Amino acid sequence: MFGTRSRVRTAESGVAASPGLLAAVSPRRAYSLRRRLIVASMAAFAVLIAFLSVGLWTYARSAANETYDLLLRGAAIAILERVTLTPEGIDIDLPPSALEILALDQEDRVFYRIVDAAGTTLTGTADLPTDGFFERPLPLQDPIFFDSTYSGETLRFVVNGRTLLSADRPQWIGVQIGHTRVARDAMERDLIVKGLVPLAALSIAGIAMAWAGIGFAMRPLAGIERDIRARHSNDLQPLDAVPPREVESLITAINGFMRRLDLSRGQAESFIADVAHQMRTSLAALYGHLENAGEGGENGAAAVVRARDQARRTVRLTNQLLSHAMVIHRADKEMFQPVELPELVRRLMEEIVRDDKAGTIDFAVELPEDPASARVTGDPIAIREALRNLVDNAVRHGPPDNQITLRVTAASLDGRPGCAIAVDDRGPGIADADKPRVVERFFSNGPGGGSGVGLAIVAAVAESHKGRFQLSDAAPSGLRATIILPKTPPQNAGAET
Amino acid sequence: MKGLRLVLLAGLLIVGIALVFLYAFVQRQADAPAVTLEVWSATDTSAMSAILSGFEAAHPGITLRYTEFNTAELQEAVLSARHLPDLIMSSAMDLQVDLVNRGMASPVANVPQTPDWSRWRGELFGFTQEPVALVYNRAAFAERSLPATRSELAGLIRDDPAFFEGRIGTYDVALSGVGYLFATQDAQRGFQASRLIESFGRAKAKTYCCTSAMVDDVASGKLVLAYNVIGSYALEQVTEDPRLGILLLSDYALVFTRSVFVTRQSAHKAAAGAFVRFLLSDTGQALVSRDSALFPLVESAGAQSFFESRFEGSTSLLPIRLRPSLLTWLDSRKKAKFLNDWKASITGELPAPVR
Repeated sequence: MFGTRSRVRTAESGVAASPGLLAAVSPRRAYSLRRRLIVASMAAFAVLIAFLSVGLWTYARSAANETYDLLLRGAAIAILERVTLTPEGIDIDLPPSALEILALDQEDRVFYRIVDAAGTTLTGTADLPTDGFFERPLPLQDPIFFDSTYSGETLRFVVNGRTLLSADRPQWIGVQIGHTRVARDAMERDLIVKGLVPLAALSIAGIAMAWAGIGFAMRPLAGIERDIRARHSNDLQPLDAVPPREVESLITAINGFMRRLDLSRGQAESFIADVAHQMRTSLAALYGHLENAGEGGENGAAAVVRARDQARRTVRLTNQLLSHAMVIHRADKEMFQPVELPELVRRLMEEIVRDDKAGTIDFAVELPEDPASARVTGDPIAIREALRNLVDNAVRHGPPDNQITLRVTAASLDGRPGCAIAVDDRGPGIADADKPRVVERFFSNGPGGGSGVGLAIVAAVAESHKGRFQLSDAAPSGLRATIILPKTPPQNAGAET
Repeated sequence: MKGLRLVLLAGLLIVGIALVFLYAFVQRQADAPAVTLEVWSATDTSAMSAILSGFEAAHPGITLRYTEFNTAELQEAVLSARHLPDLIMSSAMDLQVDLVNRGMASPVANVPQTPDWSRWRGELFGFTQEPVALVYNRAAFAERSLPATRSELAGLIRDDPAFFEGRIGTYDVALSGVGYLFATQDAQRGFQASRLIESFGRAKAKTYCCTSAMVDDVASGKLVLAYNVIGSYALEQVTEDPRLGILLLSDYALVFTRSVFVTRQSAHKAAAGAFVRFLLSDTGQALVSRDSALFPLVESAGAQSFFESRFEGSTSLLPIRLRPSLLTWLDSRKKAKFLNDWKASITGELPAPVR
């Protein structure tokens, strides 16, 4: 009982173990280039040999036939020469040389007969097969050759004839000679073997060369593999192998990828370093204000105000950094969808107006008549974030009676249709020299300077949409910030070069 | 459990193999005495008996049934037979080649190496080599020089027709197959042959059916010489009779071979093949050499010295090759014409028409 149970248990565990084992042993196995090449070349050679064998066989057979047909023909001539017409009738003096010629090949059996035009055998073996040559024009100069079975073997026959001139009328006399195919078959086999042996040797050499060639061709790759294997994980230097032309593009692609990886890692590192620096500075300032506040008195009250102010800035900075990180993060994913820009702008504007406590700023929105013409494919949250930053900037840098206009218009981007969203203000504007720098992270400008992250976010959003962000002077005064987005991002948006 | 099954399987396999061997052994034992080989032969039984019994002694399971024919009878019997014997043996090389050429023979494997001229297609095997010789009466030639060549012989006859008149013997080629073979081979060798036959005709030569009759007449003095006798048969009589001499002409001496083949119809090809191999083996050849009137094909000392030790005259041996060229002389037209010419020459009645 116990024994049975335990056996069952082992059986079960064995069954349970096997799928896991299988899965471990055979994930997707890499195929062998060498084996494929060998199999392919073997197949190719086999086909080649098959074709050549057929040709060789045909050639060998005809060569053997031609060679030995000459013997038969010679024997026929020798016999015909000795057939003469005498007053007593046809005289046949079979020359020993005729059969001697045929006896040159050792093993073959020989048959002959001499016939007249009516098919009557004058001498020799009477029952030889005719292959119907009597129905055709009787041969005179050019002999007829044919294969036929006689006495249990295939024989090769020749028939030739000559015309004997008698007093009354010419008379045809023919000779038929046949021999077995032993010598012919031997020669045929010999020719085939002599042809096939070098062919087989060549095939084997070819397969061996394919075998060796794969190793030779793969050697540069092995060098590259060693290079990559030996690298430190931080080392993103391009591979300095000199690749053969055949794998050059692969090496170039690997090097390009590493360069981009290096670039983006560098950006991430500098971003983190910037963020750390900004946060540390900001928090240190807050801590300083709070310490002063603890001392009390008038200085303390002022410090409390500064501390609140600093805390607000820190919160805002944190929010913006998170927003920036989010925008960058979202750019990595496929979050694009159709976005109605007028709708988006209108909602944003409602929100801003609600938040504007002072109510001194004059907000205006200019939208196109047809909302469909201002539809783009993009990430609505990112676009909204960008616009929000632009409006915040406009509020921050502008006078209290600022006039802020949001305008959505059709535009063209590098020859493709797009939409432009412009934000105008009546602020001091940015000097032309500073315009490229303000989009850099943590570059802050002017007395009401912000965190220096806002425009960087806008630029990142424009970039992630394959769009453009530009700053210009508004008329009559102030700054115009414009995001131009393509209606649909280019197909190869992912394959950045 | 698994091990037990394996052991059981191996055991079964061993038992199975043992059974197969046992069956094969029993089969052999049962089969062996049943084999009787039918041999049709155109060779004297007396010349062959030692060889036949030697084979039966070496192969206890095989019995030979030997039937003797003359060469022409043998050919006729073979061509008309409904069922062929296992082995056919004959001194008529041309007829043997003809039978094999018709496809009646079956190949024999692993036959000992023999000269190329004495075998054909791995089917037909010569097993003796016997020179064609000239036998003479020693008393008649006591005062005369012996001819060394055929032209010398023709010259002797021409110079002294009275001495040779009616006292030359040779084969009647119309009656004897081997006689025809020798005469045609002579004719094929050159013009001396027809000149010799014509001089035989002028000397009113006698024709015979067989070697022994010719040799008997030479011994008794009826003939002074006999041309183209079978050397092996003649030598037997010559060594026993001091009145006789035997000589090989030095221009050439034909050598023929007795040959044997296994028929395609044979039901006992293995046993028949064993007989062929036995004939050509050292044992078989030793029996031919020692216990028969025939001469072995394979002679360790070399054929030339073998013949020189037994025959007068040094000569170039000219083996008749077992090849289809022999068929030329079996051609009915050719044969009729040859016999016609030969008869005309030997009787001297009609001069051979010149063509």
